[in-house]
Amino acid sequence: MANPNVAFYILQDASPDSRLAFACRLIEKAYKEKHRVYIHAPTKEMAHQLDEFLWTYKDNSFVPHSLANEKIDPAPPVQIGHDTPPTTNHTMLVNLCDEIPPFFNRYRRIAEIITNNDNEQALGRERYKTYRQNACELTTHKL
Amino acid sequence: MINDKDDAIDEIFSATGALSQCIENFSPREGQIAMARAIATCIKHKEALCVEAGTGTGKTFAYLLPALLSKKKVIVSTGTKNLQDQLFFKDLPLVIKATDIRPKIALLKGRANYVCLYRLDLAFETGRFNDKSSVADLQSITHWSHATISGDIAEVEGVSEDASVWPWVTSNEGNCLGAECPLFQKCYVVKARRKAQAADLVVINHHLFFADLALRDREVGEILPDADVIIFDEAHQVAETASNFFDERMSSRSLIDLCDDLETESQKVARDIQLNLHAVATKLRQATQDLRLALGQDSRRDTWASVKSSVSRIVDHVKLSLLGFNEVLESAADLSEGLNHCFERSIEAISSFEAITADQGDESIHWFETYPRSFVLHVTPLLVAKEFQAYLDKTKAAKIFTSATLTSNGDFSYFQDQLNLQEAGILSVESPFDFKEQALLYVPRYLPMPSAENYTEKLLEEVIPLLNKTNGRAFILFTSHYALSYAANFLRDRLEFPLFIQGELPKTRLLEGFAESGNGVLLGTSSFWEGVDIRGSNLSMVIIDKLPFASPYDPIMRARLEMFKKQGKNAFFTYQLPKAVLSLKQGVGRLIRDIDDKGLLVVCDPRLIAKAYGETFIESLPPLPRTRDAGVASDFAEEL
Repeated sequence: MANPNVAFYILQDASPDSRLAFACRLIEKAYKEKHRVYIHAPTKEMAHQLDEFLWTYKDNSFVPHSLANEKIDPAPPVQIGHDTPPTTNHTMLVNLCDEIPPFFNRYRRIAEIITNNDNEQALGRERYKTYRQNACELTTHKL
Repeated sequence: MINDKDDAIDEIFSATGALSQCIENFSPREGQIAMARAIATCIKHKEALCVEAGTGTGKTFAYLLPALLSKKKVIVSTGTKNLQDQLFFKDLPLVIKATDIRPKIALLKGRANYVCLYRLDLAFETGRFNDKSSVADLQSITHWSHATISGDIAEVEGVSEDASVWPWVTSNEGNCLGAECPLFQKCYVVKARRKAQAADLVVINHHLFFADLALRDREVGEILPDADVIIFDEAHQVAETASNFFDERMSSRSLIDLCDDLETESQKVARDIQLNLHAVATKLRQATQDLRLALGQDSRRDTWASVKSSVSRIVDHVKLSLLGFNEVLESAADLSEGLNHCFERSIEAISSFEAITADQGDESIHWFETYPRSFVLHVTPLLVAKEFQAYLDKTKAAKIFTSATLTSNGDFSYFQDQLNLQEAGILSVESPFDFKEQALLYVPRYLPMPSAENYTEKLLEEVIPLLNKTNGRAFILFTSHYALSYAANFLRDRLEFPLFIQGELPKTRLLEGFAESGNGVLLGTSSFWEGVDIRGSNLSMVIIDKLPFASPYDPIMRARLEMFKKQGKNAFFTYQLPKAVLSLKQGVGRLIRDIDDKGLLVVCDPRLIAKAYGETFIESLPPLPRTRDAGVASDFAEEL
């Protein structure tokens, strides 16, 4: 399989909420384009936060989703996980972790969202390097 | 276009208008006025109109006023007897007071709601009841019957609505002697119908509407006056009522009743004839019981085709017993009016039984249901649109269909298709409630799929902490009786609040008890999803166990889904989904009943979030804020 296309989205805002809000927009768009999206969160708390955001961030939006641990069968097109690697097939990864998950090359597309925060940006640069070392196609979008 | 009627409507609904003088805290509502105007126009042009009016619109006034102002003959049909009473005794007098119109009004219910003086006498004479409570019930009813003007048994106090005496002191189509009855001149059913015929505005229910339709079709009479305007409130129930009405059924109960009535009647005749009559009654009763056994021990609903071959011998036996019954009765029929009537009923029973046990045609569904000691056999029309179309073609009346729930995702077509109303006008009136402030929708995390064996247990564990926060004051609405009884057992030892469980008391008493308790938890299935109006803080949380999809294994549902597939339609999106959406909207509608009500709605089913069709449900519900966070839900519950 070809190496994933990785898109870095650089936000002007520094708040963690702005990152989740942007993730929701990205996920909604991908869902409408028929992608199957897996979101990898660093902690259960952040997985829950994103779950809540996806359900509430806009009055008139609806993205069918579940937490990976909810074991919904058949799995919805959008799933949020935090510990174990996903067991279902997805075409796109949204990575919310500091590290690149070891199963990153299962996906056609990967999204990285970087807030306007020194630490986040430093970690983001590290991930950018790693993706490049793994011969991924890279694009950067300043927002 | 503004006309005189609109002016009159605007005036009456205005902040200083006639309604504000009659009703405390009345405030004008845009939606209500828009609805009233649309209805006035519809009446004027004799059109058909479907109006979905969100909870709190005040739709009753919005149709009663233009109907009265039109000064035409009006029929208002609603879903239940309780709603009829509310319309007739509460809403209608208020609206009349607000106008200078003094119409003749009438309330008409089905015959089983009026005491039958002939059968009341008979119940005494034959001494059928000898247990203490039944005798006391009979005495109360007799005492009341001397004083009543309407004969409506809803007036009787102190006799439970499920008392066993009721079928013996009221009549049905089968046992009514009609014009031959010695007490015909005093008959309350006849009086009520005459009054309805002469009235300007009659309040009826959907069932009665179809009963009238059927009589007219067979050209054997009519119950209702010819109306210029017919208004169906709770219109989402019309198709279901039609389906039930056009359902030809034969119950083991009706056969056993026939045997019982024959034995009662035969007490008045000579001994030798009496013995013969008893013999055929015994035989028919035995055959009926044999058929119940042959249909299998468990209570179920299934297609007739699934049992047809295995019960064919016993079905033949019932037929023969019915024929024998009929033959012996024929020679005794002229001995008394009662025996003649049993004879006529046996003829009808034979024809129903033969129709039902015959081969299934294309346009009907043959099926049966069994209960611990009884069964009912059915032939249900596949669709009622055809029957309804015949009416639509004939009538020249303006037709208004209104309900809080007619649309799925803003679309009326599921409702319109059921009744062939594709040509009718449509209007949606949004609820005036501020759902953003008044309510919260909570969908818990980590519940298994509803098909999981431990689903009900898991959801109950999830909601117990919330029930403790709201201090009861909650409904838990179930989609199955199985889940309801499981929950009743599970919660009994785990909750400190009084439980009100469907089936333990009649519905009205259960609701009264719940409302009075102030900390009750009510467990109910389908009949509690609708028409229940508990305002204020006594009901602060509604918990729904699953998205209310009708079982695809139900014989009627199965046949209808099959039909849509044959037509090349997607049965799920054209039928199952909108049907479930309307049910969920009804269930959700129990929570916020007033401008000051607040409440937490818990829909436990994870499919609401995980499935693409969840969007249709969400888009169809009022604009509720949402959460999946147990903490947010708990904080909200704490404030209620």
